[in-house]
Amino acid sequence: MISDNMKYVRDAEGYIVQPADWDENFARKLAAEEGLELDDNYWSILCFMRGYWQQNNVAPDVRHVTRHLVEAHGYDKKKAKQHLFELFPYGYVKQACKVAGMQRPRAWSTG
Amino acid sequence: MKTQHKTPNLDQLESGPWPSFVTGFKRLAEKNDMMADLLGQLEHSYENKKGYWKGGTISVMGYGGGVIPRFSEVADKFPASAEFHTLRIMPPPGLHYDTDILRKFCDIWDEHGSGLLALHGQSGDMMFQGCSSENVQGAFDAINELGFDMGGAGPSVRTSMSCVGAARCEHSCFNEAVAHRTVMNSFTDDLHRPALPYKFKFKFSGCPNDCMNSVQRADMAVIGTWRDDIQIKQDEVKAFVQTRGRQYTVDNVTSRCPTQCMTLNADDSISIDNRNCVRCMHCINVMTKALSPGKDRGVTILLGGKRTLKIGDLFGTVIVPFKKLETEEDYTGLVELAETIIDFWAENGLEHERCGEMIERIGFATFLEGVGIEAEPAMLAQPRSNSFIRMDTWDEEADKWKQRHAEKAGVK
Repeated sequence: MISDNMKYVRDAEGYIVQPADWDENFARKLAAEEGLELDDNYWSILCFMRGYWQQNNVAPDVRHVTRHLVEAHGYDKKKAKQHLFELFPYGYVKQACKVAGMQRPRAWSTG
Repeated sequence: MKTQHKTPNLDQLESGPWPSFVTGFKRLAEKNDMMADLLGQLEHSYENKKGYWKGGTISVMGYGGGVIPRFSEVADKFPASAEFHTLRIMPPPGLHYDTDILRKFCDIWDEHGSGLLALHGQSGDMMFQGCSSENVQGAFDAINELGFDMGGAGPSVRTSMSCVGAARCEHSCFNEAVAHRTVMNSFTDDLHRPALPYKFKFKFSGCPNDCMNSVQRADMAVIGTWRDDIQIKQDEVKAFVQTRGRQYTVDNVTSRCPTQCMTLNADDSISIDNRNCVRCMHCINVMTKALSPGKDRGVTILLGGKRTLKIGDLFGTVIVPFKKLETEEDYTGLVELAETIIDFWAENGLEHERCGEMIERIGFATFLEGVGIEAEPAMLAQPRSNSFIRMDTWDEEADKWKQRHAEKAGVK
């Protein structure tokens, strides 16, 4: 466990342990670690993911985020996913979920 | 050079009559510390009957999947193999390589990884096993430079497989490599950027022998078939009977036909009631010179095969009994069908639910309605022995079906 000023407890891979502890400053700090600079494009996605988590208590799938991009920004489905990967070039689970303060998804690439 | 760990348990595996992977590991361990510690960890696992690998999150630039991360939980004991990730790389259709490419793969893996390669893993990929987190991007770049791309992992379209097909096999009923490549090139994004409920696999088998086991394993199986009569060379049939004898032919060919639609005639020729042939391939497989698939060839498409997870194993169900795959239009039709099905499943599938499991949950009729496919008698599982088939409105439904087909064919 890595602790940031005792407020944000993170697992060995840097994911937050308690998603409720997340705030925007923490997101900026994590984004900087990933080499990302957060602008409105990012915040639209991060706010949607936080909202989904608050409602369902689980991290949204990529398809939920792409659906959000289609509905909120009028992208077609393929463009939406492309846009998402342009913002998070190392992938949804590795970067978007981490910055949005989700727990590490357990189902990641186990085969 | 690292001292080699003592491996009494693993050594036993080398004592049997067959070549052992342990021997290969030991050879690699002579020049690679990662492999030396891997052997140590494996022996440790054998001693304690426990696995010590855990997953993680590793990917390469622009991709959301394709690397299977493995971190050791006993890295303090075996530091050189603390990170032992696997890169899945897509093989060419029909697994056609030349030795030059294979040598280059070996060189790349000696440089960037452990040297341990598995051709091919259960997923159909080339498995480049044993890479540190730091080397993953460099290794992928070198492999990509040769023209090979990352395979699928996670909830995405997965690496596809096709049999050796028309290149070497006389039973081939369609161009497997073209179908494989066309479909994969149409789903590149879904393969590299996981965004589906779970995995989705395509497999292409050139004939009903189904060498790719696509019925059991592929969410969408494309299997070669024919719709006219089995081709018979009666002189070759006679030669077969004369060489092997009538008794042998009856015992091993005609009596093994599952629908008993073959007869060995008095003059040593063979008659086949083709209407009752269920394409089991047995007679064609044993009388290769005398019998071969018909001339009007195409594919049958099945959906929903999978191994056990939420529910037990499922075989694929026929959704397209026969489709020609010759023109560009035919291939486009195949891709469009797959797109429609994947879109429907992406909208309606639950997390970690395979397509076949979704069909079981919502019902086959609902699924057909959702993807706009009309019901066909060929979709019935085991029609000859299925006691659940209701026959009360059979004639009316059969009339409707005949009418629909007549309309399609332009007959009024």
